[in-house]
Amino acid sequence: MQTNHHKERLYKILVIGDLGVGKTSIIKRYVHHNFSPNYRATIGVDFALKVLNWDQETVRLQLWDIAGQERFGNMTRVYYREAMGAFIVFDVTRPASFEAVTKWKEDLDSKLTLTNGKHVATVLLANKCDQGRDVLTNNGIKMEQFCQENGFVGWYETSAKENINIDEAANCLVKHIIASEKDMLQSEVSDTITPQLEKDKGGTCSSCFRSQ
Amino acid sequence: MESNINAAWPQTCDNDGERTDPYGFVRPHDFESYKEMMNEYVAVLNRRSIRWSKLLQEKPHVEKNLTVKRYVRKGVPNEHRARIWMAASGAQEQLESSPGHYQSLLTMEHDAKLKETIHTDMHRTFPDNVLFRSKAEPSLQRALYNVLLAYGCHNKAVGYCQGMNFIAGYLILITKDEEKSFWLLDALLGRILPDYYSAAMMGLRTDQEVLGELVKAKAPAVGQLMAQYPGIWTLVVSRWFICLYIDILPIETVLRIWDCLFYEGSKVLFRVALTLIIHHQPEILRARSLPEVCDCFKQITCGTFTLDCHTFMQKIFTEPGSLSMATIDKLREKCRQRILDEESGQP
Repeated sequence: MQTNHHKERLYKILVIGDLGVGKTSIIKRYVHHNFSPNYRATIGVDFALKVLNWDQETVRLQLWDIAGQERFGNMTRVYYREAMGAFIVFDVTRPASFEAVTKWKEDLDSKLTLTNGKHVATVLLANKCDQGRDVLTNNGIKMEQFCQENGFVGWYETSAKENINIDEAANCLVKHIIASEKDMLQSEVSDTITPQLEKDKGGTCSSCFRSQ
Repeated sequence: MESNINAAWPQTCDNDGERTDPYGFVRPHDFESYKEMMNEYVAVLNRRSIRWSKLLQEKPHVEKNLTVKRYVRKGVPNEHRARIWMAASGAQEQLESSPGHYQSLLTMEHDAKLKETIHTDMHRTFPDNVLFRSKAEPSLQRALYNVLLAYGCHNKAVGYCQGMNFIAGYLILITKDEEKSFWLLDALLGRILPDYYSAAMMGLRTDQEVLGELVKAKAPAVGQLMAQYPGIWTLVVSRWFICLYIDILPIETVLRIWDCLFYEGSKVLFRVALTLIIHHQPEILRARSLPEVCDCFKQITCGTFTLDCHTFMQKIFTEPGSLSMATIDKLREKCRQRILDEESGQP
């Protein structure tokens, strides 16, 4: 664990959001590089694995596809445990799915905290951007501000269908997960929290657009 | 009668040259194995069809007795399915005693949230079925929407829960009738299944635990393996129960399970799960991690073992051994209490 050579990292990532926003499609695009308009509604929980090369290290992501219907929450919350990051997804063509974002975030934060007491890194995905931007343009919502106020480390307009920004969003999340892991290790060692790292973490999504 | 079944079994469909089964499902990958299975199964179907016709001629009123039970376990021919399911489940009685109820549910004012949720799942129910495509003429999507909406109004405690879309979809494919599908759905949700679909999903969570207990008793090694992973039963079997094996097992197998479900009740769901698990113990025990266990539970539902529905249905009544309703009732009570205790113990 302590050696930095060829360390393997395994991160559990949750993919949550209202039903029909495209969680499964995003995962399939990211993991299997394809898209089908024919996915069936996800019942319960499913997960997929993705392997990344990251700074000469192997990073394994376990992506948990959690059914969006509220009542499945009773069963699926148990899978929040030990997650290191999350995507919260909404559908840009359906305002209600955006309104639910804060509810999903609050639920996530109330069920899950890192060992240093902080919340897990969460990236907001505005999916189906190929079909319009209604939610983003109509409400006059300043997304950057929304993310800061609600504790998202970044946000992306994505399209699983057209393969827009999926890899970028995942890279952003992984970057923040690794940062928060370092942060956790440090706080374990010195039992203090270094404020500089915090500042770094608060960077908006624009910092994530840069290639790794 | 033989020609009847063969007619219901088109080798290929005209639909843009897509290869579909008799229910309208496109099978681009497994058409050959399905056809092969059906070519053998058709002899069973013909034999059962003749027997059933005779039985129904002698006794048009479907009674519950040992002969009918045996007949049901050997499979209800498709041409009699709607009728037998309706009679055995009490749905027919409900339909006759509440004329106009279904229509009145459709014409009343509907909750906007309910409508939107159902609508979201329309194109995600059976996208691989030509009859459910929005462009199909007539599209069964309309019937599906109506049945789910009516049911959501009829049973407000349940409303709409994902999974019901698949079940209602199958009912529509078999009955080809909205009202009958509605009453069969009501029989399943209201009487046959413990509460799987209401907001707390208590019956479902209980039955997952019950299965865990049964596995501990009947396949202890698997029970031990699963005990290493908290919450794993939900992960591997919640879909089995919520969808009543739709999309988990091949359609012919699912329909045979449903024959028993409507006639005998929910116990058959455990028999199926136990058979799958007990039969594949060596494979399951090779799994070394949570992802491997999950993968394995997906694998064991595929292949000839489950495709060959007639043999599979014989196995479910032998392989798991005896399984009394009293045992299940007792376990349900115990597991339900455990879940409630755990919940009240939580902050």
